[in-house]
Amino acid sequence: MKIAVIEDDEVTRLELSKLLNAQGYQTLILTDFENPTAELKQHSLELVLLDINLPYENGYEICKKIKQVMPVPIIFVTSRDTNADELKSIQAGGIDFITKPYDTLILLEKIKRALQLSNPNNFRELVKKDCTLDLHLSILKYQTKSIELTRNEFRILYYFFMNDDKIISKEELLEKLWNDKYYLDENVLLVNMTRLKKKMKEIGIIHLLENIRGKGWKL
Amino acid sequence: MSFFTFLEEKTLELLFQLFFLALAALLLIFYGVDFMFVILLSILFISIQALFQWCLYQKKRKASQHIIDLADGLEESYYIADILPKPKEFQNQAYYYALKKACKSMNDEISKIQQEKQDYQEYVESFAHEIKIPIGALSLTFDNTKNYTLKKETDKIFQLVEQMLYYARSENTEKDYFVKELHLEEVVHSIILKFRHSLIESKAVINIHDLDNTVYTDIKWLTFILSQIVQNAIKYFDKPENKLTIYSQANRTNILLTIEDNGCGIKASDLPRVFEKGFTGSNRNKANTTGMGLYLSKKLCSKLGLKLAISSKEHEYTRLTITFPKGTLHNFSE
Repeated sequence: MKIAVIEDDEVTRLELSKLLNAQGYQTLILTDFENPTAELKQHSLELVLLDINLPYENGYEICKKIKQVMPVPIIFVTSRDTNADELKSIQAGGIDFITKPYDTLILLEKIKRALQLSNPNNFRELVKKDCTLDLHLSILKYQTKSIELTRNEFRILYYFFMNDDKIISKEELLEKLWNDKYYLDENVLLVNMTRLKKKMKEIGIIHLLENIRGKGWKL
Repeated sequence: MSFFTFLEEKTLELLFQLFFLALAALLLIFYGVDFMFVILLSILFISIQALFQWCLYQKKRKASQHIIDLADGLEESYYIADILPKPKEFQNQAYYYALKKACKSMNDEISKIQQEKQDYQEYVESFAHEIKIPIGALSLTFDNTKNYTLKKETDKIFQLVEQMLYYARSENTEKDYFVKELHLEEVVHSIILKFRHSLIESKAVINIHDLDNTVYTDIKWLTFILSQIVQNAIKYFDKPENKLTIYSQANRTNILLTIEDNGCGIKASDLPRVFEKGFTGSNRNKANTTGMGLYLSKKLCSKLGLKLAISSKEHEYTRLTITFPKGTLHNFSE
């Protein structure tokens, strides 16, 4: 997945690409704004993040030009926040609009949406370490036994299944839950984690979640 | 102006005429004209003069009243000089000239100030946009390095910049005002996400329910107002268990959105003043208060046609309620 970043502020574009790299996207950083389409054409891109205030030409013009040469989705990332700006960016062919300072959670969500990755209905069940998480019935199955999960427990497990090689900290987990409108506080989260582990132990799952001291948990 | 004050102005003229009348009467009597005839003549002269003055008075009064009516009927009374009838009288012309000159210089001054104000506002807008670039860069950097302390400080800078921007904009909302159908749950969700770092840090218990209502307003302004309220709630949390409750209720004519925290509350004596500009409370020794948050919220609410109300009990809770009028126009098809 390659994402192009067209942004004239050096720190912003470097940090943006760091953020995207950490999420597993490849980035293409443009530094020459005189003729961006020529450089973009040489790569196969999934998405373009485009600033509005740029030297030579503004983002709207560049957006129109990119649209002429390649059918890539474009998200405007800008410090301008009036309705007029939003309207202009849509008119120019952008699919989304986010203003500085970006909330990384929202930016990543918008990117996912643009790439059409965030649809959980693409799967019916997820299988990790011989354990099967049924996404429709919110049931966890292992060997012949299964347990029913509460709403919160299911959500928590879901994130671990979706990010199976990463350590997820308490804060990250809370943030992800909040993003899906489950506004748990720390205590409730810890209670849920404990109950979840107890439940899993009942059907013999002790290897699924690993506790990493001081950092969080890992699937 | 009464008839007598009108006559008073003409005292000299009238005395002069009376003096002549007396002189003429004396002369007539001296040359042996009949005494009764002289008296009759004098009475005739005086009454004609009185009638004449009365007519003159009526005419002047009418003209004056016309001018007063014109001035009262004008909304921007500094334009009066342009619509006044031009006087013919010598001295009135001088007054007219003076008035015209005064109005002109005032109009010049007003347009100069308006221009300056607009320039200033444009500067504030462009400043806010420019400063969001480095703020955005900082915020991203701290996100990447997971430095949440500095991230929070950056967020604070941003909130202050935004407050300034909205203050500058609050005078002419119509420039950037777009009413859309909004789902309260989505709006509140975005606010909670916006403040998730502070809320998680203060270990707040968040209770959000009954938000399945639709309102019609401008999302950006509403987001700003809710941000101010939630920011305040976080700022004044002081219990071991902090609670933030948000819910909505609908009645026949309105939808009420309530945001309640269990923070330090507001003293009853301070409560009527919280919407005043620059009011920071008599016992709140917080360093980072500008006294603008609630003032701006109230102002923007009234511009949006919403009602913002507050109730509070010291040491117990603060509850803000936004009342959205329920539109009926869009229900015609139902």
